[in-house]
Amino acid sequence: MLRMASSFPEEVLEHVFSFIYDDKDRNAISMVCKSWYEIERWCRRRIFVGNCYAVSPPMVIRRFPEVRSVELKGKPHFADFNLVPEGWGGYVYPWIAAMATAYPWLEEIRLKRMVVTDEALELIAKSFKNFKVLVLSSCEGFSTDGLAAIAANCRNLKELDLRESEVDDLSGHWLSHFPDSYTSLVSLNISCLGSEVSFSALERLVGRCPNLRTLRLNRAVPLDRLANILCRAPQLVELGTGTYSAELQPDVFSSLAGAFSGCKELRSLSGFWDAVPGYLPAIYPICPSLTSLNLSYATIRSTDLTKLVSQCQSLQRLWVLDYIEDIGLEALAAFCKDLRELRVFPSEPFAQEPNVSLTEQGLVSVSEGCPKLHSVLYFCRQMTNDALATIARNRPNMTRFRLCIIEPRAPDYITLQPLDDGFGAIVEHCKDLQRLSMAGLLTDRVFEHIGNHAKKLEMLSVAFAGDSDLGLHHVLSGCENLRKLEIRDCPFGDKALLVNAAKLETMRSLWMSSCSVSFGACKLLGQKIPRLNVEVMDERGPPGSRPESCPVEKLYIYRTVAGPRFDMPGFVWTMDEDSALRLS
Amino acid sequence: MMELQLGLALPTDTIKGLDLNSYVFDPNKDAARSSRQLIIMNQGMVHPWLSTGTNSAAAAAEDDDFISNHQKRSFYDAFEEIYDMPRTLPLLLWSKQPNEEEDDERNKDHEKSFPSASNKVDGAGDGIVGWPPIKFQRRKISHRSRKSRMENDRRVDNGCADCHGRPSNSMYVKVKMEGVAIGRKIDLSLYNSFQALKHTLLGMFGICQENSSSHKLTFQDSEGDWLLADDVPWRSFIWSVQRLKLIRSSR
Repeated sequence: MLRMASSFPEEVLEHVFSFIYDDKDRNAISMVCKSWYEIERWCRRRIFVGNCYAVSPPMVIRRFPEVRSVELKGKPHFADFNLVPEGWGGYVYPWIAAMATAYPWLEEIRLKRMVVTDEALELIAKSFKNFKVLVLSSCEGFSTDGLAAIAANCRNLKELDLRESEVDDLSGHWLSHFPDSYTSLVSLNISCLGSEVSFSALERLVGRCPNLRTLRLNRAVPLDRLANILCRAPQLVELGTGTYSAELQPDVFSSLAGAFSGCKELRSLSGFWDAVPGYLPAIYPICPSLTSLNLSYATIRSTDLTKLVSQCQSLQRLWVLDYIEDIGLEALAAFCKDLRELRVFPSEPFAQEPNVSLTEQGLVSVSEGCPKLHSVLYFCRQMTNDALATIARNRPNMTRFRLCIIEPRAPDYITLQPLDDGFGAIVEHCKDLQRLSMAGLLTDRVFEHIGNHAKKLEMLSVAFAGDSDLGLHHVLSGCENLRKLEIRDCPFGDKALLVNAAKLETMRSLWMSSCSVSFGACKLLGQKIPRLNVEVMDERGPPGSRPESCPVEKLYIYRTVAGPRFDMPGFVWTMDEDSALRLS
Repeated sequence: MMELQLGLALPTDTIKGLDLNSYVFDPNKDAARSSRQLIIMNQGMVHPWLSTGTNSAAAAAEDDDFISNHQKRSFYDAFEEIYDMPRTLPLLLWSKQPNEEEDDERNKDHEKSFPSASNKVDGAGDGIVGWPPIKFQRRKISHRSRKSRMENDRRVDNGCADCHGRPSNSMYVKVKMEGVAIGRKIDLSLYNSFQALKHTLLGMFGICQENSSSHKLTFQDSEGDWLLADDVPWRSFIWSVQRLKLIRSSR
């Protein structure tokens, strides 16, 4: 085998490797032998770092000298729900600075939950001559000034996607920094921006970029300007409208309807802020060819929603508010047989009482009617074990199942039992389940089911569940493919963690907040397992100032080859060999 | 206090055949056999990495002070049966047998068992921090709905110059007073100043005018945050108010 491997010239191997894109495959190739490792590392063009603190920029650059595309993720997922305090970390600047010298031909940067500054954006703009793709997903820390630098300098930019980032929106003027000679835009997503961009600049930009496929506008773009924009980009495949509300005027309506009809390639729609039912018929002509529809900001009610989805026979993905109600979901189940993904968000997340008639029945209907449904995110106010078991039996092909019942620890509302058996059915029937978020009243038994059955599970989210460390132990010892575990407000303490300490090195990360893990246990983990960073977050002050058995507020453990980080704020401590001395 | 001490020397009454000093976790080597590794514990065995200090009962009792009630399980219970050890080097050996008699207490004390951090108010009133788990962009949706309905209504009415954005439809919100179990509802569309509103609210709860400084008016805005009504202009208040609460001024 070794002889054969070395008998191929490098160029041939490199050529063969160039057809391999997947990270896992590339990693496997690099482990065959030393020469394959060497060849592979010189020709790897894309890297994905799921936790920016798991490895350091110099380490990446040393191993992979010719990278063209980098994807980094920063903060833990629970940062989306305000559980990670401000200033925790996830700064991208050190990466950009290192790559500015090492990868002058870098083309793509994709970041998620990272802190990006205007300095970082300016550095990107001037360092990478062939820069093409910038995706900032749920990022923060930058302003429209940084965007202006990108627009002004990146001649070959194809994609600028700011999805759900928090931008310091100084003005809309940045868009006008794209020079008149710039025509290579393929994808633009500014839906998260608050301020108005110059509409004429936007129209001219859209008009001179013939390859524009994706355009997601922000709320500030009024409905009566949408037709003009669409007419300049009839080749659009994905569109996010601005505000979808205006006084009903026949001429505005007919130009809008005409513009939509002209977009024969349109497959994905989003936006629809403040949508008024009167303008919905403008999109009816293209509904039959839509594959993706995001109505999660559209406050239209079930009658209009039902009429709309009933025309979208090709729909594969639907994101919608619970205004759709059970009745709308029944229509979805009846008409949209190609549906793969459904997300139902709460219209009144803080109301105690239900404001709409959306129950477990809606989800059951969709699970019955849509054979390809495999990805679900569902917010509701009641659930039963029977409904969950029915869904599980209907959809053994489920891969992502995230349920949230608004009231924490809500039991089966008919039997008043915990929902253990319902979720047990999910993990038992859905053998390819990769991601699970649970809800409602749950005891240790549900974790036993998960440990026994959820063998392909990679990510688990748990809140207000379980009775004891046994629950956590079942998951850590049973879920062989577990990569990410996030837990809040559960009675899990030291024991399960310590017994399964080595498991943590096989996972990307573990988050535990408002649980019962003691400071002593955190120290022990940090000291004993060097390739884990054990970070304790406590806004009450240094954990060493309290008894060792005192539980910590928040705990974030992740595997790393980069050692402890040094960019932590005052309320984060890393537990390592030295910490015992520093903190006592 | 339970302390976890890491001893390298094994006590003499330890497990037969298990030499922790020579055990090094090597994922390649151990994968095949680690799943079948058995550890047989004798009655009352103590793991070398645990220093009990005194006896197990006292240690378990001290545990309770700091950790949740229903976790007072003794990990010095005998291992009743032979079972597979996880293929890890545990930093702790533990019976994993829940004590039967603790079940009831566990259920009862479910609510009280956590450190208070999670019940800390996030500015979301009665809410829990970060719950329900939705991103910040999705928190304001029903407010937008109400606002746009109001805007449409305003355009439909010819509008009055002095309306200052007063909605023409009724606008009922819930009101609670600190210390009073039953809440009320009030139609905010009938008011255009905090003074008049507060006057009526206090009257609803039976506080007479002379004592109007006894309470402050707070409101929950569209983002879930609780603010003092006097800190914002009336117009902003009306557009974003979700519910009201009267709190005692002595705070």
